[in-house]
Amino acid sequence: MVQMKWEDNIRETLENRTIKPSATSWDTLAGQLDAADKKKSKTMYWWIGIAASVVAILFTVNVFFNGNSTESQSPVIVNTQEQVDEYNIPTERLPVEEQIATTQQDDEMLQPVDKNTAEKELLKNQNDLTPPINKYSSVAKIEKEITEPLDTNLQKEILEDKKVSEIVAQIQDLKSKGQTVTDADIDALLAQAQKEIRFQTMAQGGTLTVDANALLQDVESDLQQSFRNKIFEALKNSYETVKTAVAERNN
Amino acid sequence: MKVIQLHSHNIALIKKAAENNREAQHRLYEDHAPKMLSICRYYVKDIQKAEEVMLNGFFKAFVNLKSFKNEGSFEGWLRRIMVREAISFLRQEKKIEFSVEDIEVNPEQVNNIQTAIEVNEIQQHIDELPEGYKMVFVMYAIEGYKHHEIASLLNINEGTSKSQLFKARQLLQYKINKWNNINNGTDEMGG
Repeated sequence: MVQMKWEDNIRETLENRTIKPSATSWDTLAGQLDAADKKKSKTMYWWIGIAASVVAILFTVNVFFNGNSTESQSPVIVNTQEQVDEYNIPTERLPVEEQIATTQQDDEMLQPVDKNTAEKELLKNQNDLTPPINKYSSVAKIEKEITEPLDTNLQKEILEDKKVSEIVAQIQDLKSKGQTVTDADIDALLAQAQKEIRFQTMAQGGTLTVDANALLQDVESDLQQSFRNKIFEALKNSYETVKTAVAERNN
Repeated sequence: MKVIQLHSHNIALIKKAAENNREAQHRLYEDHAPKMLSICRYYVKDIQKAEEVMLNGFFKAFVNLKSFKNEGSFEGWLRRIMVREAISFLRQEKKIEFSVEDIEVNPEQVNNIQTAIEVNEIQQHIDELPEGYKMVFVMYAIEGYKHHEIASLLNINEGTSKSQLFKARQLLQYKINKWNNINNGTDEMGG
């Protein structure tokens, strides 16, 4: 629709018009703006408070769920250990105890121990994934206890039997020669036998890297209970035999 | 050169006002309030209510000043806010009716119209128009809105906007001619 000339004239006339607002109009507007600012700042504090609460709740939930999830993730840790073994990376394998020690160290401590970078990365990943290293090390220890003693227990028993028969033979030999066998003699023979058994067990085990203290405790407890009992039982039997024989001869 | 300086000065003033600098806001208000009040007066007959509408418009403009990107003129942006505020005010104040009744106007009376008329008389004749006619006429003939824009702002059809404008023109011409007849004793003064 074409705009008519009279409309243009009206528009121009109205466009040139200005109306002065009342003297208090700015004060009214400034008051409205001040009120809005105060309201805005109050709202902002509310939002900050809400945001802080949300962050706190998230943090608490995160801590709570992470604390629960560590126990449930422990089997996964064992699997990753197996995966590392399956890769069969050609490096100088450290003894089990040393590996456990290295996993407990920081990344910086890991670097000089392992030579292959690929294995380093795998171990690093394991560290990232597995915060509870203590559980990891305990699992590894259990594996060691299961695999190693299976082979050595049999050898240990054979050695013990052999030593028992040797000591009994020595005591009987001494008795037959008419010499008196004192407790000190028996203790000396036992100590000697224990020493030999311990040395042979360690030699047959193939690794001299096993912790000495753990091995000592292990061997001592076994020997003190099983080996000593065997010795005394053998001595008792032989003594009973000799005593019976002497009594029958006298009769 | 002067125009460029004025423009950059305005930009700096608007930037300060957007940062809630009350002095800058006051200066912008002083510069634009008389014109904006005149615009609000197109739509609102009562000058006090028109001023209320203008203050609400300025308040919204200052609160949302960061959304003004200096892409168009600041006055144009402010004008659009005032028009919307006036429409909103009239909607709240009373139901805006878009009359469909035919107005009988003698065609001879609208051909040659006396345009040398005082601004107050023009405003008076506009005020006497029905609300729907007045809004469409002011938006189209004075503010320069298109029919589809008017339809969108007033929630009406484009056809309604066109018919309202047509009838507003007829009625306004009739009134002006009648006023001329009474005051000047003639309707033959060509524009």
